[in-house]
Amino acid sequence: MQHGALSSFSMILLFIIGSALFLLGGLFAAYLLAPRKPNHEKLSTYECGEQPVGHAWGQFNFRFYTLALIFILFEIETVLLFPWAIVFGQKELIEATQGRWAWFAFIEALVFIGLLLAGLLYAWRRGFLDWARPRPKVPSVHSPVPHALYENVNRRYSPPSKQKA
Amino acid sequence: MQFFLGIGAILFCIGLGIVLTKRQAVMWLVGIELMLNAANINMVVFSKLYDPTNQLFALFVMVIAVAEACIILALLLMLYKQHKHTNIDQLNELKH
Amino acid sequence: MKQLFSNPFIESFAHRFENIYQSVGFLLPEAALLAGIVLLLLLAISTRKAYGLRLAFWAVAIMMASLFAQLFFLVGQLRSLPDEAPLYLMADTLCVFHPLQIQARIALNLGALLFGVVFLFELLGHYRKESVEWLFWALSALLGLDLLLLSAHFLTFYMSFELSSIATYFLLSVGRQRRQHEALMKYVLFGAFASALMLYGISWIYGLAGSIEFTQAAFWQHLQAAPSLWLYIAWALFAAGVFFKLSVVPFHFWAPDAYEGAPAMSLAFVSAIPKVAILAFMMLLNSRMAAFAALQTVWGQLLMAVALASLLLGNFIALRQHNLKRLLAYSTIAHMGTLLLPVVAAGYEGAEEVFLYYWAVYALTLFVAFALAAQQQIDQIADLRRFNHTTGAKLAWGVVAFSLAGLPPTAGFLAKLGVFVHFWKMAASHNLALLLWVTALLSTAVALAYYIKIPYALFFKQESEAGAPAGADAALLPAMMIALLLVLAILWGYPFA
Repeated sequence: MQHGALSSFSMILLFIIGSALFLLGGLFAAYLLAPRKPNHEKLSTYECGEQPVGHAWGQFNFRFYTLALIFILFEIETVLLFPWAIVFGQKELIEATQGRWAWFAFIEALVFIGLLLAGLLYAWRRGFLDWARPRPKVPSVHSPVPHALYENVNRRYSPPSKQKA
Repeated sequence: MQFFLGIGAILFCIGLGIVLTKRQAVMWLVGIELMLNAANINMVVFSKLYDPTNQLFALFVMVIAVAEACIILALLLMLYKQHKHTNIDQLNELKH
Repeated sequence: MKQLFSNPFIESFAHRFENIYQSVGFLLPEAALLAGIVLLLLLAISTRKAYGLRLAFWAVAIMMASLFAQLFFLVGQLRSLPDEAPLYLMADTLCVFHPLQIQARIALNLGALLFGVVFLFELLGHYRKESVEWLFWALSALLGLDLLLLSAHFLTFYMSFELSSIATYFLLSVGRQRRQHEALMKYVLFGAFASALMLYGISWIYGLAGSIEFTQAAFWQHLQAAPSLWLYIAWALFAAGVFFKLSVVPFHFWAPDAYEGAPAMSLAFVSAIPKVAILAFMMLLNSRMAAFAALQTVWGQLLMAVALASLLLGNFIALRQHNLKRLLAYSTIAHMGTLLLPVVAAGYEGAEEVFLYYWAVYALTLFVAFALAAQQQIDQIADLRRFNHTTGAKLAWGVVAFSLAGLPPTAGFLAKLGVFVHFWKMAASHNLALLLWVTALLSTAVALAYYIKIPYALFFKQESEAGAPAGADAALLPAMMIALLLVLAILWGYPFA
C-alpha cells in the first residue's frame, strides 16, 4: 500500500464499516438459517435474565441517581487519560528527554489514578455505593393489655380449623 | 472556519437564552452545558488555526462540565426532596 | 510505520519538558497542600464513622501541619526572590513568580491558618459533625486559589478557578438546613453560569490573541491589534466569571441570599479568603498590560464602571436592610468596590501594600462579625438587643461596626485612608477616576448610617432586664483578640509611605 494512501481516520471508517458488515452478516445468516418457534418468553425483552417490568420510559427510583452520578464522574475523568496515553511510552519523546519522560509521565498517571481511587474508596466507605434497602418498619405497640391476653382471645375466637394447624 | 465559529455563537446564544428565560433549574443546567460546548467548539477551531495542542482545553472543559453537572444534579435531588419542585423563581423563602 | 510526532514537535516538547522538570521544585508549597488534602481523604477513608471528636482533632492537626509546611516553603520562595530582579521571574510557561503573587499566597495561607485556630477553639467547646469534610474542602479551595495565582496560562487559570469554585460550593453545603439549600442552589447555578460566560470569553480571547499564555508579550501585542468591539465583548465575558467571585455589581445577585442561608463559618471563609487571590490576580494582569495603553484603557474603564456601581448599589441598598447577614452581604459588595480602587490604580506605586492591608483588615473584621453572629444565632440587627451581652462581646461588635465603616480608632480607618490617598494619585489626572474617588468618599459617609445601627442596638436599646444571657463561647475569645488587634493596629501609625 502506498504510504499515506489511507489517513488514520479512514482506517477508523474502514473498521466501522467492517464491523457493521460483520454484525449484519451474522444477523442475516441467523435470519436465513435459524428455526422460528416464537413463544411469550422468547419475545420479551432481554434484561440480563431479570423479568422485564414496566416501561423503559417510566420513572426510575432515585437511588439510581447517586450511583449514576458517581459513575459518570469517574468515567469522564478517565477521558483525561487519553491524551496521556498518546504521549506516554513514545520512543522518540523518551529519547529526546534522556529517559526522564517515561518515569515522569508514569508517576503523574499514578498520582492521578491514585487520587481517583481514593475518591472511590471514600464513596465506598461512606456507603454511597451500597444499594440502600428500604428498612421495613416493625410497628411496635405499647399497650397496657398484656400480650398473652390477646393470644387467649385469638385462640378462643379463631375458627377451629386454624386451631388445629 | 467562520461556519464553525457561527455554530459556536449560535449554541452560546441558545444557551444564554435558555438561562435567561427558563426558570427550571434543570433547564439552567442544559443552558450552561450548551454555553460550555460553544466555548469548546471555539477552542477546537482556534486550536486548528494556531496550536493543535490547545485542543486539550476542550477535554478539560468537558471534565469540569460533568463535575459541575453532578453537583447541580445532586443539589437538585436534595432540593426536590424538600420542596417537591425545582423552580428557581419559587425558591423565595429567603427574601422577605 | 509513520512517525507519530514531527521533529520540531519533539524538539519543543523536549524544551518544555525540561522547563517543567526543572520547576517542579517551585511547586513545593502546593505539594504541601495537596499532601494535606490527601491525608484528610485517607483519614476519612480509614474510619467507618464519619465524625467524632478524635477524628476532628486529627483532621485539624493535618490541616495545620500542611498549612505550616506551605507557609515555610512560601517564605523561602519570597526570600529567594532577587531584590533587583525583573518584575517577573518565570519558572516555566505554567507558573510565574512575582512578589505580590507570593505575598497574596502567604495571605491566603494565613487566612486559612486563622480558620484552623478557630476550628480548634470550637472543637474545645463542642465538636462539629462535618469537621473532616469542612477542612478537606477548605484546603481544596485554598489549593485552587493558590494555583490560580501561579497560573500563566488560561487553561491552568480555568482549572484552578473551577477547583476553588467547586470547593466553595461544598463548603457552603456543609449542614443540612432547608433554607441553606435554596441559597446554595442559587449560588451554584449563578456560579456555573458565570464560569460558562468566562470560558466563552476565554475562547474568544484565544481567537483574538492566537495564544492562551498571558505571560507572553506576544499575547498582549496580538490582543491589542484585535478589533476593539470584539475585544470589549471578549474581555467583558471573561470578566463575568471574575466579577462573580468578587460579588461585584452585575453579578452580585447571589450574595445576599447566599449570605442569609449559609452557615456562618463557611461564609466567613468564602466571603473573605478567595477575594485576595482574585484581586491579586487582576492586579498582576493589570501590570502585565501596562505596556499596552489601549488594552489598559478598556480594562480600566470596565473595572472603574463596576467599582462605581458596586459602591453605589452596595451602600444604598444596605441602608434598607434589617437582617444582619444581608447587611454584611451588601457591605461586602461595597467593600469590593473599594478594593477595586487599588486594582485599577495598580500602575501607581504602593498599590500592593494598600491593597493587602485593606484586605487583611476587611477579612479580619468580617471574621469577627461572623464568629460573633454564629455563636448567638443572630439574624436581625434588632435581635442584638435581646441578648444580655458581655461587655467584651459588645465592644467587639462595636469594633466590627467601626472598622467596617472606617472610623478612626480602628484599623479600618487606616485601610480606607490608605486606599483613598493612593487612589488620589490616579484621580488627580483622570476624569473617570476622579468621579470614582468622589463617589467612594461620599458613599463611605453614607455607609456610616447603616453601620451605626449595630452599636446603637447594642448600647442604647439594650433590654437588659428581659434579655436572655448570651452564652460564653469558645470562639468568642479569638474573636475578641482579633478585635483588640484591629484597635491596636492604629498604634503602629500610618503604615504606607
